Amino acid sequence: MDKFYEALSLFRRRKYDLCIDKCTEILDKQPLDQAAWCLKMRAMTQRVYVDDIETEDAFESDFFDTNIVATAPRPGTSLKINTASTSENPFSARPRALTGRPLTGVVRPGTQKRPGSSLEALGTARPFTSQSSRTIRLGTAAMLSQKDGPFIQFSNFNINKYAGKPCLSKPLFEYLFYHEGDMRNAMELAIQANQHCESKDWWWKVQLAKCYDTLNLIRKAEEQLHSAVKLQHHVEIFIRLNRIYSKLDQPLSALNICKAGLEIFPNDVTLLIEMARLYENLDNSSMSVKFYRSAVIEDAINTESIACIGMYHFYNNQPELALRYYRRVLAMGAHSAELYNNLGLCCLFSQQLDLTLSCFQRALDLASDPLIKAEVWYNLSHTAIAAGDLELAVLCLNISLSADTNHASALNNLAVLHHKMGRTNLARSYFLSAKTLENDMIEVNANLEYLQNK
Amino acid sequence: MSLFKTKEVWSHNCEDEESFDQNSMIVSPLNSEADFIITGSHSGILRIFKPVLDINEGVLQTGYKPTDLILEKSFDSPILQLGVGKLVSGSMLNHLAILHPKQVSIYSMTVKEGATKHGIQYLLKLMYTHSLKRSSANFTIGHFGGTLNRDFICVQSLDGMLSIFEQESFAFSCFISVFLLPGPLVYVRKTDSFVTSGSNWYIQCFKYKKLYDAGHQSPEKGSSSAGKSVISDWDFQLNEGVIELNVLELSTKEYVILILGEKNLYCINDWGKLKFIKRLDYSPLCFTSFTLDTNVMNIVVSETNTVLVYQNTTLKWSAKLHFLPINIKRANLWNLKGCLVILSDEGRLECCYLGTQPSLFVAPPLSYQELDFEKAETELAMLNKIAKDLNNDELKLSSDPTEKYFSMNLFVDPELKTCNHESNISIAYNNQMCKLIIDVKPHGRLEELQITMLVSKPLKCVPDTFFYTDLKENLKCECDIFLNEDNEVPSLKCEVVATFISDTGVPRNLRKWVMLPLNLVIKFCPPQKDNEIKINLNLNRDAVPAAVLFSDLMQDNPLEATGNATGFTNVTECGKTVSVLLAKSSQRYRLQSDSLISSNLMVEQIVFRLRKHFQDDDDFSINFSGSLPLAPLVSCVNSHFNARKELVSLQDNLAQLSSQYRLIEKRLVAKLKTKTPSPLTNQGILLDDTFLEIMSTVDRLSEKNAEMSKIRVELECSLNAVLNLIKLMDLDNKLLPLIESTFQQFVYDVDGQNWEDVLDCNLQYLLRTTLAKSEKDKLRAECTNFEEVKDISKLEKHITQVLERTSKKLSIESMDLIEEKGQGSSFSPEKGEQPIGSSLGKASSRVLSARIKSSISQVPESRDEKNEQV
Repeated sequence: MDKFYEALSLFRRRKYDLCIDKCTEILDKQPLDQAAWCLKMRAMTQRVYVDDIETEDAFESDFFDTNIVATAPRPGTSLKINTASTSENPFSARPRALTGRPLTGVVRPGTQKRPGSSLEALGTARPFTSQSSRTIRLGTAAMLSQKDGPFIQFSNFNINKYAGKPCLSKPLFEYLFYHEGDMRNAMELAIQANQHCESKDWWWKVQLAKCYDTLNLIRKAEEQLHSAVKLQHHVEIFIRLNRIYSKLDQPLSALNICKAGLEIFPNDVTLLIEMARLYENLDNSSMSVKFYRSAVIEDAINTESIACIGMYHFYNNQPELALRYYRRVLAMGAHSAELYNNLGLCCLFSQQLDLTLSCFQRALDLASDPLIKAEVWYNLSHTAIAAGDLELAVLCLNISLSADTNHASALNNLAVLHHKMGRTNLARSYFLSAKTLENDMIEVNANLEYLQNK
Repeated sequence: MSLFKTKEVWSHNCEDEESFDQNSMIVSPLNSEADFIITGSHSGILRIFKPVLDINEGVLQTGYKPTDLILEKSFDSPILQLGVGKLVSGSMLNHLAILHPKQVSIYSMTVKEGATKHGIQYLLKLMYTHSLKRSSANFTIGHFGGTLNRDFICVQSLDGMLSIFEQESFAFSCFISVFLLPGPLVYVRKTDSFVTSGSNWYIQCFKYKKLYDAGHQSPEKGSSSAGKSVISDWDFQLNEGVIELNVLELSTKEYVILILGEKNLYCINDWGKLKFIKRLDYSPLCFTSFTLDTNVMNIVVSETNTVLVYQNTTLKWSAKLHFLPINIKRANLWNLKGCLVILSDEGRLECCYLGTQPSLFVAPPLSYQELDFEKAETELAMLNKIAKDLNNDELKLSSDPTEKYFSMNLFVDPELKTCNHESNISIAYNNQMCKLIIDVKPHGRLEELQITMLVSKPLKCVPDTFFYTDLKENLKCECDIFLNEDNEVPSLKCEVVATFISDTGVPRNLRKWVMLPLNLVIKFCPPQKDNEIKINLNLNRDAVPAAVLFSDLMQDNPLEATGNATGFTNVTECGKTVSVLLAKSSQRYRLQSDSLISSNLMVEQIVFRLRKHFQDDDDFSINFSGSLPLAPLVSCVNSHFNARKELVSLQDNLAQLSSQYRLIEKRLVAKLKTKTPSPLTNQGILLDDTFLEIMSTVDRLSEKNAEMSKIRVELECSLNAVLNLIKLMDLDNKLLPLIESTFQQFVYDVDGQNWEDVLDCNLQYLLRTTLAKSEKDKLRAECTNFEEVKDISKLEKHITQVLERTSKKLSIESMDLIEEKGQGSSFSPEKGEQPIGSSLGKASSRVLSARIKSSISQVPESRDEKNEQV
């Protein structure tokens, strides 16, 4: 069998390492075989490829950010301020993440910093670029696996020559962007290739926008995406435009983009979920749930939608309904500490006490992250309170605090329990430490005010 | 992610190490009414299966039977693709086409009936072969050129040549113009064209006619090695890698092309217009499609072993597969219509249907044993006890005397030495330093120990901290103390604070103080006669002559202290002279000076030395009966206030300037960022100007800060003097700590709160409680919050009032009965206590309600409503 056919077949069967070896063999014999070179590039890119629409990019704008439209936006027009909303079912009663956004049913990149992620470790004092930590990491990881130096030496590379070859330029760009993480050369290639095809290929415009976005030239990226969407209606362009507007803190424009997208691609799940997330961040829970429901009708195995609908019911005092949604997620094969924790909570509030403890037990068994452990113990303390066992509740809260010393809600509840047991001074000091951790927590402030005024 | 799993009805495993790809299987009825499954591996083995599922008493008999494999044949060269069509001229029967790397062969299958079922023989007969010059990639079969009842073959080679074979004869070949990697190739009957995915990630369409023209125009007509390259008829900018292509005819006679990309599933019509896009949130492997009514149905297999059924873009079903397939087809088998045939790349072949068999996820069992309740209870009790003991231990440990851990002794070396440290003093010759020695004796192991020396401002201690870890042995720390600035010294007290963590992890601290030698800062000078400030100190013993009292100063120049009057002044000669006069046998000292600031240190020293001198005499007392020196104190406060005001205004100015600077900077950045450069319009000059102004403000600010620190020291001096005098005034035990804490000698100015604000608040509190003149004053609300002092005269009035009332109270009290005193002072604690006690009862119910409120809005507060997205 032809070696090149074998390499092609291996690539199609996702055996990228074998495919790379095959291509290397061919290239050793014929170093100028463009097809093998291209295939090797593609295989190397595919090996490390991550859908960059869903990578974490959330970063706070700094002082010199000239893209900010309004420093004091009107209520309902910004994702950054967390004011109390005016809708009937405000999310403000819900707990919020550290960034001040309401918690969603799903941990998704971009909206919440995952505990222990490298971004968090970077700290806040250091300004960081919009390049997500994933792209930085990929470049270095890929370099390690190549024993005899990098595949392509970009130091003496004639980008202009390759920009004019439509068959090579696109794989080359992806290689540069995803595998090498070399934004400068990638952008150079994108600009020249765009000129070569006389700005008629929407793909180059989108790639240019991606580069601009990484370099934080958001307005330029917006320009490119708008001209791309004129050439071709594509879901990806709509989502990228929406992300750009979210980055610019213009949720209403983002919503309009999504609506326009939905007119062209009715019932597209990605767009529906995008809208639901936006409404969620805007504290409009009823609209958010409406879109999540439409998404579920279209795609019944969408875990994010099911979990978010479940959470909506939970916070609307319908734990039985929430329980059904979470059980569905469980039946679909998800198996995580968070899920068991939520099931336990739903069981607790829907009076299915026999299942509560076993759910929490499983959650504890699965929880490896101390932060998650802290949450589970915190919820267990509510079980203890419901059972009237205050000593146990105090113990649970103490364990929770030993896992996560910054758990303000646990401190608050511990203080309340201590106050109930007559240890007012201890309670006060716990309230104060809760307040230092989370300054605008309603409960702590109410309790402290009460202690002050009694 | 699925609720269900597929139900397997028939499966076959290929034992040898063979590999298969997406073109290695076709499902075709050939010339019978139900489908055969034909597979061909890269090792060159062709297998034809005829899965027969019998129905026995209404139940489908599942499972593979040896008779299902009707034909197995091994070829020398690998099988790349299989195809079925009417490929033999003059025959309406379907024939099997097999693509090898260098040839394409057509076979016909014939059946030789036997006596029994397993006696039937299937034979494969080679009809004809075309050999290929170039390595082939794939082919497609169809009625090219609109021929009826005849199928042609179009083979795509690895380097982009299309060769058309009209049944037994070779027709022509041509090249695709933009080509690098071969993509899937399909034929659309309606438009008579080929659709393929080009290497530039476009979907390209080539009309057969155009290919025909190009193929026949080429000079070397007939040879398969050359041909003209053709340009596509239309392109669709798909812009991603393509995994598979499919063509479907809808019931409306419309043709659609379904494209499975790496990220999306597309549906375009036969002239390249997009019908729909389905974004896939997983990575797809293969797919198959069919029509149902007017809908396009797609069955996609994802990399996570799931088969997903879409009706247009709506997900209709998803089910879990048992293995990862490389190829999926839909087949109508005997007794089972529309079942799925899947093939993995190792050769596992399976027929299955969707069914509602739940894909039960079984969580791994927890490794908890059955609880023995009695044992668990004792264990719980034990753990509880440990937890409780730990709490108690902490309390016990924190109440242990500090001396138990270690002891600390302080010595001051009375010998002064010339200072060898850098200081800000202008006159260098009398710059001296004294040595402070700290002896530390730990009684056990100390985890960490930090010793800090605190001296009043113009004095400086080098080094000012010591830090040790894991300390077990005795330790001797030495540090030097010297004057750092030309200024008066508020106090010669040196405080040493030792903070340590014992080996049990309990943090504790220990404070000790020592008086520094006077000759470090003070020297003799001729006494002065007439001065503004006169302070009389009365003793109940005979006065001690200065020569005795200041014997340590005496050593240098014994002559000057022999008289009744002695003069003292600061070594840096920055203050005024203080004269100490003592009348013989009058039991009285008189201090005279032109400034309160300078006399401060002498008051402190005389009191300290006298008490030391008479330390064995229990009845000894010193008394101050004159009026307190108010005016100098008030003027000090006044100057501090004014200096502070100027400082704040300078800071405000600086803040304004720097925000202006930032604005200009921001504007410049915006200008430089724009594509079309525009003139800076003198913004550079503006930037420079602002910068210069900022610098000059900073200079003024640092000057003012130096001045401020001087004023602060002076204020501290006068405060200390007044405080020392008040201490001598025989106040009652309850009032004294209040006054003492009000006139703290440390003056701190923090951002947003001046020293005056705190003082004023304290004074007002005193005036309304302990020092209240009338009942009406007591009824006024207590001053609880710190407000910024704007009007200095009010503060001055308050200071005067407090000090006057303090001295007045003294005189009234000494005259009046003791009862009244008791009444007046016992009033305030009662007043404070009563509300606390009474509200305790109500307290618990309110907080309970607060807790309930908090637990309702908060139980959901469980932050944990996140589910990992799977």
